[in-house]
Amino acid sequence: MKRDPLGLLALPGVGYLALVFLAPLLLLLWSSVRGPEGWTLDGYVRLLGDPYYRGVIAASLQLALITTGGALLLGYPAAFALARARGGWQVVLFALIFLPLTVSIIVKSFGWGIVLRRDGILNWALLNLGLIERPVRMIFTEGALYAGMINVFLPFMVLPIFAVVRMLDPRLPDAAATLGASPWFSFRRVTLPLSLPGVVAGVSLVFSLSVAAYVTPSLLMGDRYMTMSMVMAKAFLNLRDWQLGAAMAAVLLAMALAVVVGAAALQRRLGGR
Amino acid sequence: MPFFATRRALLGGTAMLAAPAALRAQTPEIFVGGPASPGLTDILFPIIEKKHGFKILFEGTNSLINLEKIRSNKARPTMTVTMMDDPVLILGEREGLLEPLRGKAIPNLADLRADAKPREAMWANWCFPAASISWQTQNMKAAPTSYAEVWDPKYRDKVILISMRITQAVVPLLAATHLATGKPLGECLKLADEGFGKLRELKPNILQITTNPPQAQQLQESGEVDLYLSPDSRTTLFRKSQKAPVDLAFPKEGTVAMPAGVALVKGGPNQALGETFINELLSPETQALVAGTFFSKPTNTKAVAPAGLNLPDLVVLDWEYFADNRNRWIERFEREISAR
Repeated sequence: MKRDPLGLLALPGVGYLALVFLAPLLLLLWSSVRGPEGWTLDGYVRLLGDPYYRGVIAASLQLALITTGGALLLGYPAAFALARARGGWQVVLFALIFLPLTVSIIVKSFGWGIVLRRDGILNWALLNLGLIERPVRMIFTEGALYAGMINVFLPFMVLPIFAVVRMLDPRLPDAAATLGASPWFSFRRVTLPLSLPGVVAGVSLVFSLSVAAYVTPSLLMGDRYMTMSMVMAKAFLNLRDWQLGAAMAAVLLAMALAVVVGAAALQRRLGGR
Repeated sequence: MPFFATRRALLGGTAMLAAPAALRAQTPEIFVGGPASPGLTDILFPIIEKKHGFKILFEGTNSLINLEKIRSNKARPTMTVTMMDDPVLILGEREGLLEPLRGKAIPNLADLRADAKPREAMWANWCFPAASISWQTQNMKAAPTSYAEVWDPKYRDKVILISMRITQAVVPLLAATHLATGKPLGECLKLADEGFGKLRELKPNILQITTNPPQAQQLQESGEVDLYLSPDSRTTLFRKSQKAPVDLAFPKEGTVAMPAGVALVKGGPNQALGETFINELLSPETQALVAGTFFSKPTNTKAVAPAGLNLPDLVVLDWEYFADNRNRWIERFEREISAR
């Protein structure tokens, strides 16, 4: 088989990634199994044998799953609206969904803090609507954390779904209807399967990003909701326990990798249908 | 007309590009690493630069990252002077990263309080910021007079604690230990493990455990919380001076001196300039300026604190003991106090 010389164009990019990503990653994995007295799995034993750290891993997973689920629930219809909108409406929707990406995560997370305060706009609105009698605590609650995380990562769900949905023929539901399919049946058997590649890509992207989130949980919950990234920061910076930090990083990497690889396999299967 | 680059033109261009570097080279420079506090680069350093004719290149970050930079450059140090917390300086000393301060080169050391020259003047404390309870002056009628008030149920969800990963977190731990044992605040550090039970009782009042002091400061100033333990006087009194509705309480049990150290990096460039910098920082005149700018106790006994800055006598802690136990306390704090 003749090789395509165009493939060589990837070399600079691959070389760059190998240098700045792969090499540090290998060093990290090496640190996770290298102790003062040689090779050891002590970092992993301390991590996975400790109920506290297992709880942190579970909390990170829970946060990532809720964020991904919430972003999917909101992002899937948003992607359809975006794909079907025309003219000025599409520009407005695009701006609403993607302009927040230009704002720093730190600014957005601080913004949530202001919105959720006792004298924030949400409490003000609920008070004026007569739904509550006095301001309620919303800040530094798990609900606030989930809302903030979904807000930060929603565009990463919308974009891949939108990319797939905009390629779908808008006459497909009509064609299904002429064959007697109800709107729900048409969505379940025609639209949804065709949009699944976008869903899979969005889910893997949002899960990978949210399971490793550091800034948003730090600002919206602080130490009350420890995530794997926060443990890593503590291990490297405060405890100076590189082995523990590297072991946590390796576990986090394995989880994100499993989702990405699983998603890629699913994509191939869906593409082959 | 086509343009051809002649050798002369190229040399001329190169000389133009090199000119700023050459001009810079005429002014000696030192690289100082320290906290990103307001007042350093805008007030203090320009005065030192003007007086001594050298340039201070400053990088503001937290003490642990500062230490990491010095450690990474141990073979070829780039930093001359470092300004860090004592518990971190202790780690630096143990790794042989610091150069002892010499009284001959830094004569102002002689006038420093004895407790401001730790480890036989391995470094010096350039000021003692005060830490106790920061209180919200619009929500509350009067300052707390005792740490016990922080445990009052009326402050439910109205208290922010600093994470044990930040040195100032020692204050609520000492307060809890004092309340649990009845011992004076100054004796509580070595009994601190006995304070965790009392600190757990504070959990209903804690709105957040913060690793982000500016966010906590903003929440207190906006009235979301009443009590914040414990930003030190550099923050609270500075914000008070800017009309923010916060003030520092002076509880009857005592107010703790936070350690603000300055040290020479071993093998760092321009050591003589580094010594000049430290000597100036410790001089009575600069110490008075430091006290007023950083709302802290001066450490030079000859310095006169500015009028209006009335800090009480501070409790000075054994920071080596703190450094030796900090990691264990961080773990306990996270599991017993921070955890949901």
